[in-house]
Amino acid sequence: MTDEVPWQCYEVPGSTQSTVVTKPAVIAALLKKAINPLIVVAHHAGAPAGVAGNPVDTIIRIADAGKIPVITTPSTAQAFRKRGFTPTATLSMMEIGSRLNDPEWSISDDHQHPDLVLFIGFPYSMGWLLQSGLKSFAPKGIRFISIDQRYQPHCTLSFPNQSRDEWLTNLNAIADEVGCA
Amino acid sequence: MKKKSSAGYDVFFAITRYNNIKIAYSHDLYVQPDERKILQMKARVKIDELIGDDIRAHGVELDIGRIIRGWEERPGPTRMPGIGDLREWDHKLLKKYPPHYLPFCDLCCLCTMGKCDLSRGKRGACGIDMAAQQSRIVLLSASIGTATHTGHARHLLERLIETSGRDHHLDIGASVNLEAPNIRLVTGIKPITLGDLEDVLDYCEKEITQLLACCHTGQEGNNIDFESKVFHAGMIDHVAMEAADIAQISSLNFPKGDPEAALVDIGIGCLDPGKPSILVIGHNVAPSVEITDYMRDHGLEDAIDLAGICCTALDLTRYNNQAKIVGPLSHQIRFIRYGGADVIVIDEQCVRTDVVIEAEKVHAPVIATSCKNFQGLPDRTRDTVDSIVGDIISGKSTGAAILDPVKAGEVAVRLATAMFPKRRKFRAIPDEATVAAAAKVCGGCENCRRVCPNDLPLSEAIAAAGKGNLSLLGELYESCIGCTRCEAEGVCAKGLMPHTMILGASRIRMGKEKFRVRCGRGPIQDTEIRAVGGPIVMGEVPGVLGMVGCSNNPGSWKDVGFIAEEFLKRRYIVTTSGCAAMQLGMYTTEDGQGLYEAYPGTFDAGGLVNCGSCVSNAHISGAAIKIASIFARRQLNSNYEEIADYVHNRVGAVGIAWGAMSQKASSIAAGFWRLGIPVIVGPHGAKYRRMLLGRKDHTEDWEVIDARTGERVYAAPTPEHLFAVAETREEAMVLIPKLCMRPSDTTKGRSIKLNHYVDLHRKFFGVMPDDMHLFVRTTADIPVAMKDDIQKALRQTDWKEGDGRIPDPTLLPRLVRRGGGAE
Repeated sequence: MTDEVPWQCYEVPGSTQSTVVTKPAVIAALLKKAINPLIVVAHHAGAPAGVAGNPVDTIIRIADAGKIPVITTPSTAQAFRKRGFTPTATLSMMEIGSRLNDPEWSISDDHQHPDLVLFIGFPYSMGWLLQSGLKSFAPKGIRFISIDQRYQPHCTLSFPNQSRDEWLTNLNAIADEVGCA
Repeated sequence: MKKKSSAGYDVFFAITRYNNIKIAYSHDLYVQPDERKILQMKARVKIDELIGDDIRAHGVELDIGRIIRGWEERPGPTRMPGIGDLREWDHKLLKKYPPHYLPFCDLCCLCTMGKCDLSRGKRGACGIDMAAQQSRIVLLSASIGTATHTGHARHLLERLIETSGRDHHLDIGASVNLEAPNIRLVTGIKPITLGDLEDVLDYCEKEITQLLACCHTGQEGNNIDFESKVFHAGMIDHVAMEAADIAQISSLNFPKGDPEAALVDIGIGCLDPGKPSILVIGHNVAPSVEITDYMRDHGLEDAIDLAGICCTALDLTRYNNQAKIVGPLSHQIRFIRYGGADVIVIDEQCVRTDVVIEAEKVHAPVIATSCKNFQGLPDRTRDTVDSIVGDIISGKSTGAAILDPVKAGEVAVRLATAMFPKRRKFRAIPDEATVAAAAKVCGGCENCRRVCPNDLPLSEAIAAAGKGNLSLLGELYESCIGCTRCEAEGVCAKGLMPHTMILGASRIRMGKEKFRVRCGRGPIQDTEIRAVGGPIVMGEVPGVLGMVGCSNNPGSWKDVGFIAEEFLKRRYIVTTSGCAAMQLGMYTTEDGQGLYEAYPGTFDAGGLVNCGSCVSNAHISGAAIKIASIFARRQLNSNYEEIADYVHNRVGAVGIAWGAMSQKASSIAAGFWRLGIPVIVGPHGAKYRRMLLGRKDHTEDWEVIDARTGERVYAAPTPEHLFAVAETREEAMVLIPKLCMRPSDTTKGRSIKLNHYVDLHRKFFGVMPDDMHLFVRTTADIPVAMKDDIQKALRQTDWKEGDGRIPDPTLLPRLVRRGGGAE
C-alpha cells in the first residue's frame, strides 16, 4: 500500500495500487536485473517550450547505458530522431498496451516479451487507463514502473508526485546508476 | 398449414366458407392511392365460423400485431433482429478487432454481494471477470445512449403526431427517395407516415429492454457476447435517431437534404445585449418551436433574441434560421454567468444538472419542459400563463416545470420581456481588476489543477494574474470544458473560483465571439450518393469523415476545426453533427473565413456537410448504407449483415469524436462499429474503457473471401482498427487516411489514400510510416510523386509485389458467387 494520492485526485484506484519509489537507485537496480526491459515513451516526455531540461535526453542516456529498447508513440518519436536516436518501434499508446498484454509479442526478433516496462511521458489519464488495463490483463510477473512526474497508481512501482526539478534530478540519477558498471 | 419463415410464422390456408367476419384496427387505415399497398397496422379479426380445406373452426380470433407495408424489395434474413440474431456477424468483427480493456474502475459495485475487486484476474461474487465487467459497463453505457435517443424520439413523435396527425406524410425531400436507410435495413419498414414510426420505436424499445436485462447480475458472462450486444445497442440507436430526425424534418419543415441550408450565427457575441433573450438548452426542439411560433404570432421576432446551446440550438436553427447558437454544451455555465439569458428553457440531455443554481446567480428563471428533467421545479403545467409569469416576476418562484410546449413557449417569451429590465445588471463574471486582486491570495497548492479533467495549469495562470498578467488565464478559455470541478467545495483553501477567473479574463473576448455555422441539412440526397458512390468505393474520393460528438476536448475546441480543414483541403468528404458541427463553425481559416463559408455543403469531395443535431448522425450511417443500396444495388430490406459487410469492406468512412463525452456518443459509435466503420476518439475517449484494435502484425487476421472465387486472400489491415484513441490531434490526422483504406480500393484509389497517409505522416512525424509496406499491394498502388521514396522504403522491408488482383471482398461465405466459400 502507499500513502501517495493520484495526481488527478478523482482517479481513485481500486484495492491495489503502485508502491511509491522515491529512490532512483531502486529503479536502476531493477533495470539492471531485468532480462528484457523495455522503455515506453509518450509525448509528454518532451519539454514545453522555454522550460529547461528535457527528459528525452535522459531517456536516451538510460536506453544507451542499459542497452534497453525504446518504444515510442507516433507523436513522440520525432523528438528522439532529432537527437540521432531511432526508437526500436513506434506504436500508438493503445497498441502498445495491446501488445504488452500478448505474451507472444516482442518488440523485435532479438527480444522476448519484456519482464520490466518503464513508462514515461504519459498524459495522466491515458497513462492511468493503459496501466490499469495492464494490471489486470498483462501476463503475470512483469514489473510495470512509472517514472513520470506524477504518481500513477496502477503500476508495480511509481515515482511519487514531485516538482519538475525533482523529477529531472531523479531521472538523471537513474541514468547515472544504469551507466555504472 | 403453417410454414415457418424468418420473421416467425406465416399462416396459409384456403378459406372455402366463412361467416360473419369483423375486423378492428388499432388505428386508421391509410392507403396511398398510387401504391395500393397495405400499410402497417395492428388489427384484430374475429370470425364466427371458418371452414377451409384442412381447417374447421368456430369463434376464431386473430390478433395481428403488425402488418408490414409492402415495398418493392422482399425482406432479407434479419427483419427486426433480436439481440442474438446478428451475433455471428458481430463475432466476425470482434475476432478481427478484439477488445482491449482499460478498466476505469477495478471494482464492480452493481449488486449487494459486492463491492468486488476484479483486478489481476480475480472474479466477483457472481463469477464475473474484469473483461466481462468492462464490456458490461460499455453495454450499459450504450444502452443508456440508445434509450436516450429512443426516449427523445418517442416524446418528439408523440408531440408531432399531436400537432400534425398520425397520417402526416413523411417528406424529407424530393431528392431523397430512400428516406430511412437505417429503418428499412433493420426493421423492414418503409415508413410513409408519422404513425409508421411508432412501430419502429416499439421495436427499439423492446430491444433496449432486452439489452438492459443483459446487464443484470448473472445474465451474460462472456465479454465477446457482451460486446455483440453493445453493437446491437448501437444499431438500434441509429434506427431511433433516424426516426426522430425524419419525423421532425417532415413535420417542422426543416431543410430537406439542402446543401445550401442557411448559414446562421454562432457565438456569445451574436446576441444583442440591448434585447431580451431566451436561452434554450438540450435536444428536444418542441418547446423551441413553440417559442418561435409565439414570437412570430406576436410580431416579436426582432424584439427578442432566441438562442440555444447544444443540439436543441442546431434543431432550432433548422426551424428558424434567425435564431442563434451560443455554442456547444461546454458553453452552458460561461454563458449563464455572462448574464446573457433572461430566461432559460431546458428540455432533455446534456443539460447542466446545476442549471437552476447557476441561473439563480444571475436571477434568470428556468423553465423545465421535459418530464425527464424536472430539476426540482414545481409542475405548473395546469396553471395559467398569467399565474406562472406573475409568480416568477414577483420572485415567488425561480422557475417552473411546464410540460405543455405551447404554454412553455408563451411563458418564456412573456418572461423574457418582463425580466429583461429587471435582471440585466446581474452577471456572475468579475472584471479584470477583480480577478487580478483575488489571484494575489493563491498559495500555489495546485489543488485546482488536480481536479481539472484537462490538467490545465490553473495555478500558474492564477499566479501570473496575481502579478497583473491575465493572458495565461485567458489562454485557458478555449481548453476549459466548463465543468467547474475546480470550483467545487473544498478544492481551493482560499476560496478562489478558477473557472470564474478564466471567464473574467476572457470577458471582452466572449462579447466578441461571432462565427457562422450552416444549419443542419438533414439527409444526403440519393443523387449525391449516385454521383460519389463509385469514387468512394473505388477509393478515388479518399474518404468520408464523420466529425461528431461532444465538446470534451483535450485541448482547444479549435483542434476539431484544424483536423477538418486539413481533410477538406485534401478533398475528403467531411460530414458532421451536434456539438462537433458547432465547433467547426467556431474555427477560422488563415484567410479569416469560417469553414462553412469556405467549403460547400454538398456531399462531394471537399464538401463540409452539417447534417444537424445528434439524431442527425443517422444520416451519416445512412449515407454509407445508401452507397450499398443505391450505388451497389445490394438488397436493403432486412439485410443487415450483407450491407454491413459491403460497408466494412468498401466504404472508406471513419468517425472522429474528438471530444466525445456522453453515453449517447458511445451508442452512436457502436452503431458505426456494427457497420464495420472505424471510430477514432480523443484522449478522454479512453475512458469508454475499451478499444477495438486490430493487430497488423497478425497476417492471418486480414484475410477476406473473394466473392468471385471463394478464395481466401490477404487484404492487409484495411481498416486496421474499429475503435481507437489518438494521443494527439496529429496522431488522429495520420490515422484517418490509414483507416479509410479498404480491401476494394482500386490501384488509383489506394494510391490516393496512400499519398495522404504518407504525406501526413511525414508532415507531422517527419518520416515515412514504418507500416507502409502493408498497404502497397503492387507498384501501381504507389503514388507517382512519392515513387522513389516509397520504393526505397519498401526495399528495406520484406515487401513482395502482389499479383494485382483486387478481391471482391466479403467476410460472408454465403455471398460467394461460385466455387464454394467455406469458412
